[in-house]
Amino acid sequence: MLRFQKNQLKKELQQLFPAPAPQRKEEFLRALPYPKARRLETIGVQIGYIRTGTWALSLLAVAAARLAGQGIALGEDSFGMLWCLSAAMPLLAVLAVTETFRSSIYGMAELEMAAKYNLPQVLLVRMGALGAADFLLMLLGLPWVVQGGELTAFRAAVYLMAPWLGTCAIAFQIEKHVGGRESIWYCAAFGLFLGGGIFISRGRWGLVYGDGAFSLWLAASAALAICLARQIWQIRCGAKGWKLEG
Amino acid sequence: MELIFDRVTKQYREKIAVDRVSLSLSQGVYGLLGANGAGKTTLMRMMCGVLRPDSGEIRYNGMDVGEELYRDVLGYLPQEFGYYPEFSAMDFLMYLASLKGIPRKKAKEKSLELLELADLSHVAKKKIKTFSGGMKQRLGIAQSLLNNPEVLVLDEPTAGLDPKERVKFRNMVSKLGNDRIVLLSTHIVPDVEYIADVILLMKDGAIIHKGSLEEIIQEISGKVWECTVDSQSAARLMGQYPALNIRKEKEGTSLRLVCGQKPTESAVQAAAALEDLYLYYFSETSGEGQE
Repeated sequence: MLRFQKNQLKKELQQLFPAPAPQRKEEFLRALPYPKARRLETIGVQIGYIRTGTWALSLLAVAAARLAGQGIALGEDSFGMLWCLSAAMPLLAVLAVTETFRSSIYGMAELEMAAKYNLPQVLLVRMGALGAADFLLMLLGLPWVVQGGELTAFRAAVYLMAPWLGTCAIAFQIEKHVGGRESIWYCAAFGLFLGGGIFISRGRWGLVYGDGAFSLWLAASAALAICLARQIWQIRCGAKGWKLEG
Repeated sequence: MELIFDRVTKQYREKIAVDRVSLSLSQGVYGLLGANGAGKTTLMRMMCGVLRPDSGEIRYNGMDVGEELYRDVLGYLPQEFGYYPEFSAMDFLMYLASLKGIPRKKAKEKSLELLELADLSHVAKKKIKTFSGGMKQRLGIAQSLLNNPEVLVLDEPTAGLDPKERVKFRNMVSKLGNDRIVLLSTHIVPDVEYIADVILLMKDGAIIHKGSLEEIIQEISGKVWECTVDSQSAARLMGQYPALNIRKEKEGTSLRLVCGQKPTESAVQAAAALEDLYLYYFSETSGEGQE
């Protein structure tokens, strides 16, 4: 009986004193802080924004080099396959670098610099993803290079990495000092120059890939890797001099 | 909520773009007014962490503006911005939302809401390259609001907007200033006049005046004159003093001038407006006008 009376009282009180309708409910809900996206999630999203064309062209470049190596009847010859694949490496590098720096090419850099996960972080994600992809493609190409038995995997990797590292290092400097849409042309020109240079080395394999020259290749690769790492570190720290805003 | 500039300086070779600017901004709408090359954009870029000052500091609630925590509460519309060519309006907002750390579901809701606010819902899926200048600008304003920023920096936000859009923008910014710091720069004096709580006048890299509209207009109070003269006298007067308005009438040429003393016998004093002040400081003949 007492419980019934209490419930009855509640109902009557609600009727006599109705609660006011909620005001600016939507505004209040919109202003509530919400859990932010985690860094890992943002990295994944950024990788998703790398253009499909870049992935496709990189794959195509390696596939075309592989077919060219076979098609020119170089067959099982390690140096022939190496020659074709290493000529494709500058193209992979140009694709990676121009995709990395497309913020300044398309005038998005200033907007990205002012965001929570800002431009240097975006660049690192792109570089990391594209660099890792190119490294994987290089690894995929290695079996074809070493199958002839003239070269070890390590040596072949050095011969393939060197033009990639060299093109990246120069392309980064082009982006630093030129920036904007013009930089695509300069990077492409350098990539073609290096790729072309490798191409015309056909027939001089003994000189270029001989035992005596390997230590030079190793030293050059190490120096280029350090140079590239330094540039990446400068971008990471937002160092002066980088024309990131285009 | 306080944004402090402490003797901030930026120099490009021999040109001092920002010269030891010290300011304290709290809640409200601040209008930054200045001629081309005054240093407005440089100051705003430093405020957003896009550029680093050569000396001095900019701090928000004690933290440096280079920190991620600050960028989390910052909204920025640059003077010029581009877009990735494959982006639609929705893609653009979703992309920037991801960079601002907004989860995908929330980003979609917020993007749709802002497209509605910017009157771009009907073109949400269209490529930005098909947009007019005004539509791109509205999209730019929309992206600056994605993360519900505490500090909103708008560099020439009304460029490319037609008068109706400018009025809509002014109303929007007035409401936004209630609980955040809004700094907007513009050449369009009425935009600042109607919405700014505090007006900052910038010249040659320095803030020369800071105050409410009434306070800074005091500077030229009693120095605005209107007169109607013959064309020869008009040419002479226009050469001597900053002329705000020139109108050909039957009786002669009607002039509105800013000058320290009565320019002609027939001149009558007029109530000063912000545009008069702008001209007084930034006209080529402002040196003579300020005597």
